[in-house]
Amino acid sequence: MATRYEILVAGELDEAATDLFAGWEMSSEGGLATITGDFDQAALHGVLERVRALGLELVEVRRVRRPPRKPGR
Amino acid sequence: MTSRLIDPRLVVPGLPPLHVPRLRLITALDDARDSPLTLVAAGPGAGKTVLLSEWAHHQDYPVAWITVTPAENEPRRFWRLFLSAVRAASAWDDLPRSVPGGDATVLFESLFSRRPPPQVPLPLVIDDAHLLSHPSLLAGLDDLVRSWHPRLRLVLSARNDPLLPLYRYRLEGRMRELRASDLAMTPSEARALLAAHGVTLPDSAFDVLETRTGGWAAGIRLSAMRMSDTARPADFVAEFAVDQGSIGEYLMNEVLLRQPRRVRRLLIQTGFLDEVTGPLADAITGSNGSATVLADLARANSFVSSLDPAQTRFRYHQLFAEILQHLMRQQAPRLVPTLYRRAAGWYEAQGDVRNAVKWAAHAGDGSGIASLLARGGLARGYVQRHDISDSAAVLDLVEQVPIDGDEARAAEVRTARLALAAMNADTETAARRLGDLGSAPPAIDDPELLVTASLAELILAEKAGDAPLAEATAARLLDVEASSRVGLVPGLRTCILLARARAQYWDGRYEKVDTLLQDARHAADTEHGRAVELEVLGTTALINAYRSRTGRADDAMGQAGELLRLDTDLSAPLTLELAVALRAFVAGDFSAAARAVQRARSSNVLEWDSALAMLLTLTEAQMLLGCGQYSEAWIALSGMPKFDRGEPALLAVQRDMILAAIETGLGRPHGALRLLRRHRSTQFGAPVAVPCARAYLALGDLRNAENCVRRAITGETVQLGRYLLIEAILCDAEIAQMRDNTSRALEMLVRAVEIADGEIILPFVRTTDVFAPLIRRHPTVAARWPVAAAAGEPAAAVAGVRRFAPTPFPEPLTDRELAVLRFLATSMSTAEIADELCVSVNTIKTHLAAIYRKLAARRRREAVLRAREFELL
Repeated sequence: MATRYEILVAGELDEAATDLFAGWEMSSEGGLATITGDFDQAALHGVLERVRALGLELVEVRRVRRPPRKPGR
Repeated sequence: MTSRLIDPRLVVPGLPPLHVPRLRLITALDDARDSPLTLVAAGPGAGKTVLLSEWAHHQDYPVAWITVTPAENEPRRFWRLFLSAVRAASAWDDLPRSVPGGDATVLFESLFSRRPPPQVPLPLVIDDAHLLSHPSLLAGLDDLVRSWHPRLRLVLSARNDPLLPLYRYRLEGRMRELRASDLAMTPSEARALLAAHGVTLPDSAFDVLETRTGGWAAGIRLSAMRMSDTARPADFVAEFAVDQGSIGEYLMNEVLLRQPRRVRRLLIQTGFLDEVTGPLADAITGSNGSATVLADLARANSFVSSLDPAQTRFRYHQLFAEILQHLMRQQAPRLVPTLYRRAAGWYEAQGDVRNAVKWAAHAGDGSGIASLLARGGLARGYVQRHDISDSAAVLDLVEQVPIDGDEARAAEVRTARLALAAMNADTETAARRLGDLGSAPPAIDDPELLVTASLAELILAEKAGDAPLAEATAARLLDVEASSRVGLVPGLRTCILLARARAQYWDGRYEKVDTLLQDARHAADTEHGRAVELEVLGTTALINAYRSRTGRADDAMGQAGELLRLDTDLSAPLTLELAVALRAFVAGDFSAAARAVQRARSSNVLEWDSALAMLLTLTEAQMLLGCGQYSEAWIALSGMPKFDRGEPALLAVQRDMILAAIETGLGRPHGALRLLRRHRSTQFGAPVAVPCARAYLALGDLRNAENCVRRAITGETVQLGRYLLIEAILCDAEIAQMRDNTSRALEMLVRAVEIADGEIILPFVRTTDVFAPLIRRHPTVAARWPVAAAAGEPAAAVAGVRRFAPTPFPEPLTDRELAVLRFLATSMSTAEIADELCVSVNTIKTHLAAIYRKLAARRRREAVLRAREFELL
């Protein structure tokens, strides 16, 4: 039931945040940090709860329909 | 005075009627038994609670269960509940009652460091763990996962992933998970559930239902309920398929709409309660007959379950309750606070201040709470030793009530704030609060409020260990004018008289103590209630045991035992346990003393009364000292709270006497004399002379030792007590022996034996080695010597002393097993016991098997005998 989601929050992720979001992909670009991972609903709400607990500004949550193609290496 | 009413938060929820067992998930949970953490994470209605309760009912051993509510997201409250849950499931009755400052590390240390691993696994379920987000609380849970006792496992159910480092747990293999995809009903489970409701669907309709609900347990159950008595269930599925709204609300509405109007109204208006009873529902809905409606619902409906076998207390399934509350807010939002107020009013009328305050807080009714607390609420809390409310919300609400205009209202609010401060204080803050009060007493002249304010002061004084102030405040409350108000709350007058008796005693003033205890006895007669009577007997037994007036102490303990036997809802008060410990200790029965100390340790009254807490520590230290465990005794004493406002005089002397004995025992008699010096010229000169004599004896200074013995024996007898008198005489005998004055030594030994009269054994145990050669030469003395070792054989009492260790009782019985045990001593049959306890015969048999195993008994009679031996009966 897990679906891929991207969660966008404003600002950079500091150490506490990196710790709390460990296990998911984290990236940062243009003043926005993105947390990407495969979540079921309970896990997704868990991430949002972490965003709230850290006092981060939630910008967007979006479902990624198809997992991004891995860059050819 | 704690009644044994079961906290609904600690009850394993019952299974819904027409439940379909979910074996594959039960197996998955059983398979995860070796992981410190099992996480069941899925949205509402996924069937988490039902699954875990099915699993809990399947276990051979009790499961500790906590249903978290938002109020528990506060470390102190949470850990207290945690302790109650562990205690209820494991009957480790020596657990601390509270966790100072909410710091779990201290708790775990005391829980696990000094305890052999439990024999049986103890799973702990925390339902709705997503509500826990307090950082220190989460840190505590993380600690549990990392260093949890091997036999204990944590099972969390949560709507969303709790804020724990789950990723790390996964990497380290500490966690097993059951998630929405696991909990989703398989087609065969869904078919079984429909079949249980008597619904058969054609394959096509079944597929539609499967798709629409996505295996969501609540969705399938609601659909089944909706279709259960319709002729054409497939029609419903067709309608359901085209509805675009939230399936939960749609289905719930469907199910609710099929209920009669008054049932619907009852459910919607009482949806906010965490526990519903018929009379309470009547009061809230303004109707009658709710009890029958609720009982019917519990029988037929999956969303109402009863909490007790008698079917008087009920709980709604959580998702159901949420939708009911949602409907209530939608239909009549303005009525919601009124409903809360009605609940508060009903509880107030029942004398249940705690719940009255809680619902008044929900209604946001700060001045209502203030009025409740200031007019009788604090008094009831004091009599029942109930923590009325330590939630921040209550404090805030009362803090926010403006103090302006109406002077009467303002006084009420000021009094309520004082009451809250008194209830929430610990030893240290109580002392500070009293300091503030001393400089600026609140301006109050309403007599009822004055009683509350004085009572708050008494509570603070007892918490701060300030005996003179406690005595003065109690006296003020008992004075003619105030006492007419005091009489309004049942049991209050008795409790204040007892507080005064204790305060005087701790302060070393004995003259009026007996009169006060008698007055308390008479007051208890008129104020009814066995709980109050038991408090009187407890304090009476304690003070007399402490003064070695063994006859009076035993008499009070006997009467208390009788009361406890008559009314199994009562539990022994702290004072009584302390009295039992003291008596057993002095009689040389260390294991009985240790058991009483363990039971005392779990009392919540320790938080209310620092003097009793201090006495408990002193008793423990004295027992360790009695076994020659000097450094352990010293460590026990060093953990004692600091009293900023001076300590109870008698107890301070007692502590220094123990410390001195430790010093002498460790070969530092000079240190002992130094410690005792400041007491020697006080009113406690006589008792203090005894350890001084021992110290001089250790120094070989017989002259000074003899002087001290004289001082002790010729001092005021009321101060010395029989126990210390015997110690002094034995010391005298030892001096005579060292001077080779055999006849005097023998004379003293005989005198000591006569005074002890077979009731006080400990001093003889301690000195048997010293006098052994002398006694052996004189058979007449040997025959009367209370300890057999003098004859050259190892004495049972001595062996008992050496054996003493902090955990003497191998495997404790659960509350339920204790309840069964009580009936075992009667001539009732198993079936009759089952009937009496409202459980099945098979359940009783399970308990019996556990009781027999734990007591190493083969049959009923043997179990009863063993239980008597262990003082479980």
